[in-house]
Amino acid sequence: MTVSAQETLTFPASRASAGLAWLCRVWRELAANPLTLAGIMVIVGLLVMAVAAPGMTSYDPLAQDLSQRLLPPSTAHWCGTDELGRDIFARIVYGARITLRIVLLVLAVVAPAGLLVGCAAGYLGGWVDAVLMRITDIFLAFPKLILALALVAALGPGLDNAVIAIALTAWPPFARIVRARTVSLREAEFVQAARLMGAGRARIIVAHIVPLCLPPLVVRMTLEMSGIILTAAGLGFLGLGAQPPLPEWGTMISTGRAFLLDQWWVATMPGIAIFVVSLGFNLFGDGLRDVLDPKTETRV
Amino acid sequence: MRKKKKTPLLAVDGLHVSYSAHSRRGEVAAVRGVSFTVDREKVGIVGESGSGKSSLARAVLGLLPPSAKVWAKRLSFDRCDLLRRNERSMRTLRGKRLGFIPQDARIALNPVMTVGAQIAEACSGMSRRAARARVLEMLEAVRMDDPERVWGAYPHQLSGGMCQRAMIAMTLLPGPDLLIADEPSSALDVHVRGKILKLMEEMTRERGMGLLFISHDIDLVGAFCDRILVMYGGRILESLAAKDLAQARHPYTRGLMTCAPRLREGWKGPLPVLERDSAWFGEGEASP
Amino acid sequence: MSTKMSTKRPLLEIRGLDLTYPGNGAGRSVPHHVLRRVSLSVEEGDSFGIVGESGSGKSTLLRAACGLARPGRGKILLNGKSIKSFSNNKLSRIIQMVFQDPYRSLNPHYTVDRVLGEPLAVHGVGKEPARMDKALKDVGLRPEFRFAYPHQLSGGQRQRVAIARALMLSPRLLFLDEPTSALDVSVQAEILNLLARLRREQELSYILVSHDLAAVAHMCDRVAVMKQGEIVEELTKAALRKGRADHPYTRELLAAVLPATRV
Repeated sequence: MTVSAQETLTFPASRASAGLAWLCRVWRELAANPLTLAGIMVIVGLLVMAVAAPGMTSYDPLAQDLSQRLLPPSTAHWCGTDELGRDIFARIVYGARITLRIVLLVLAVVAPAGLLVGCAAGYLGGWVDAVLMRITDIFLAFPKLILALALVAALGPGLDNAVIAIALTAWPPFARIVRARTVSLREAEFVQAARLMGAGRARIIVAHIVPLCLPPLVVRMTLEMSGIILTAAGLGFLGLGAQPPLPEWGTMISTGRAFLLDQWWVATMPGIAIFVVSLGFNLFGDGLRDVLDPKTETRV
Repeated sequence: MRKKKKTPLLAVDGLHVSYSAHSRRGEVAAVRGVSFTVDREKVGIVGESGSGKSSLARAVLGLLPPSAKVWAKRLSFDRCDLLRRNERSMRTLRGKRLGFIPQDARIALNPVMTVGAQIAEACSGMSRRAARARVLEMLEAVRMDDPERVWGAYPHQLSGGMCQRAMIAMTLLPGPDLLIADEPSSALDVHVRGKILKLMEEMTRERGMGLLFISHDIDLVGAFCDRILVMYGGRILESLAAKDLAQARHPYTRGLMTCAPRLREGWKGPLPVLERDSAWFGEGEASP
Repeated sequence: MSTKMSTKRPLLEIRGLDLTYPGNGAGRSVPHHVLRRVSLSVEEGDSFGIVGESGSGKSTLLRAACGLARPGRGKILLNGKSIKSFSNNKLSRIIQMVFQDPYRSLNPHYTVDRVLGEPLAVHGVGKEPARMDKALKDVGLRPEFRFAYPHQLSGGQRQRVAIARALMLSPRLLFLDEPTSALDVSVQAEILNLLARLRREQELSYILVSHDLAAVAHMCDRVAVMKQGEIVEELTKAALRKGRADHPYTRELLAAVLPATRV
């Protein structure tokens, strides 16, 4: 920083405007990367599809019309129709709601759980750390899909059970990330200063450690989303996730598999949807990591 | 006219370095028109943080990130034009002829190689035995207590000061023509510092090595170097011989010397504070 | 200063503090004897300096004395009472610390306002804007710095914030762990002047740790020299300035201080 740069800085006048300034800066940096921007647009598109589904298509995703079955993509049916005459585009659009629901429910469970386990293990150390991390290791040792399968088999097929199963397999990486960050922050000088002020452990964890664990956690969340979508699609493909006639994308691929050679669009269209959404989340997560990377933490 | 002008070892004329800062609009100019020469002598650059001294060193060595912009009227090392060289040809110069001691030795050393192996990398073309003997000799020269142990140790097993000395050994071993040292003694304890400086002095005298010594400590530079350049805000404010330091004319140079606490002569009241004049930012050589 | 009765109990007394870090196998398999029976005493209103090189244990000594490092053997007495008898809460109102690295001693996500408000919040005291502004003024920062983030401040400004934070609870004794080592020499002069002024105005006692003999000689009345975990010698300011040292290590340190250029 050159010497003269100091005098030209103006500081925020209140806490609210300080926070707002930070958000603006993060947004500006995210938008500067074209790939990240593409990812953001995909995510926004997904949200729009989910919210405005009735406005995007006039077809009913569940309405069958056997006289219109297996029609190729055309101006009437943008993605063609499936084996029961349902419009595939409509099913994809309404399916976005299911995808989004799975992703949000899983993350709502997994992120706090990972945060709790990771912070406790990292800050308290000792036997607490050992026990929690071994439990984490056990869950990590299983291949995700197999474990999810086993859990769904035990709980019974269905969308909500699929969410529970996926959540139980997805939390370990979050716990690890949070623990690693907590361990490095535990000895930070501002934490020592807080201890010296008389702050208890709980206060330090909540006021210092957790907020600084959030950036890597959020980055990891966006990167995991594609994995969650794929696992849900896998379960759906195996008939264990969302049950027909729900327009879940994985289930659509599964039923479309029988027609893959001659009526490729039945399976391929939902496949493209899964691909694009996963890619979008990955691109956004990469860009977010670059902006929130702890190496540039000093700039906030 | 057969006037043979001796080419200085390092000639810098009108050097500018700027970085693009995406968080602030525009660019940050780190070096704004610096000109000087270094021959077979010890030249010290004194400046505070933000003065541009580290950027200057890295610009000469070609070690700036690709996003940095460097331009100069002239930047030559012993008749080689450094501006036009690409990375590959710079690598042939660095190490053998242009030595660099970075500021933080601990992160400059490879953490997964033993120190001995890293220093031995500088002995190319020697047999393993000869290289090891040479490295141990160098480690002794930098006053390592146990050269054998350091040979087999990894950087994380050594203290910060020992890493610094290992880095110095690695840089001096091939016998460069010009050594650029960025705060080489800041991590060292005082009695080791004296010995390292003495070693650098010997090399300058006996091997005719040129030395560009960057530091924030004006007393150290005044005691050790032959000439001093005082940098502020990316420019050289004053250039003088070390022995004339007491008669420095620029208020910034004088300020740097008076504001430091003195051991032997005590101040009764508060220390004199350096009053920065914004006019200094516009002073110095302003080469386009 | 000399009107104090010599029978008065010292503010802080350390007797025979001995601390060994056990070998943990990871990189350090040998136990590390960090502090070797260190004893010192600091009176109310004193400015006590501890000088030593890296690895001498001076920073560890500070941390052990305020409870940030593991206690080790030996006694630490605050106003005559064992430091263990003080609750965390009470201790924080007596001893505070300013750390070395201004770039790491402030939470990067906290504004200055939040940094200064934290000690008040921990102790259940309300945060009045007037008090915030006074805290900033005391350390020489303008009120508009109140909602700045640390990355927007220079090293010297951050250190001022750290000092203001340490003074929020009105402590009696301030530990200063190399408070100016990471700063430029011109900024160091400002911070040292600030610390000297604050000590006068708020009647504080200091323990200043540094590797810089000149700075310690300027700020402190008495100086202890540490080497490899033990105090080898204790000198007064006058003796330090005149170079009257008995221990060879102290002499070595004094000899290595470069003569300042007289301007």
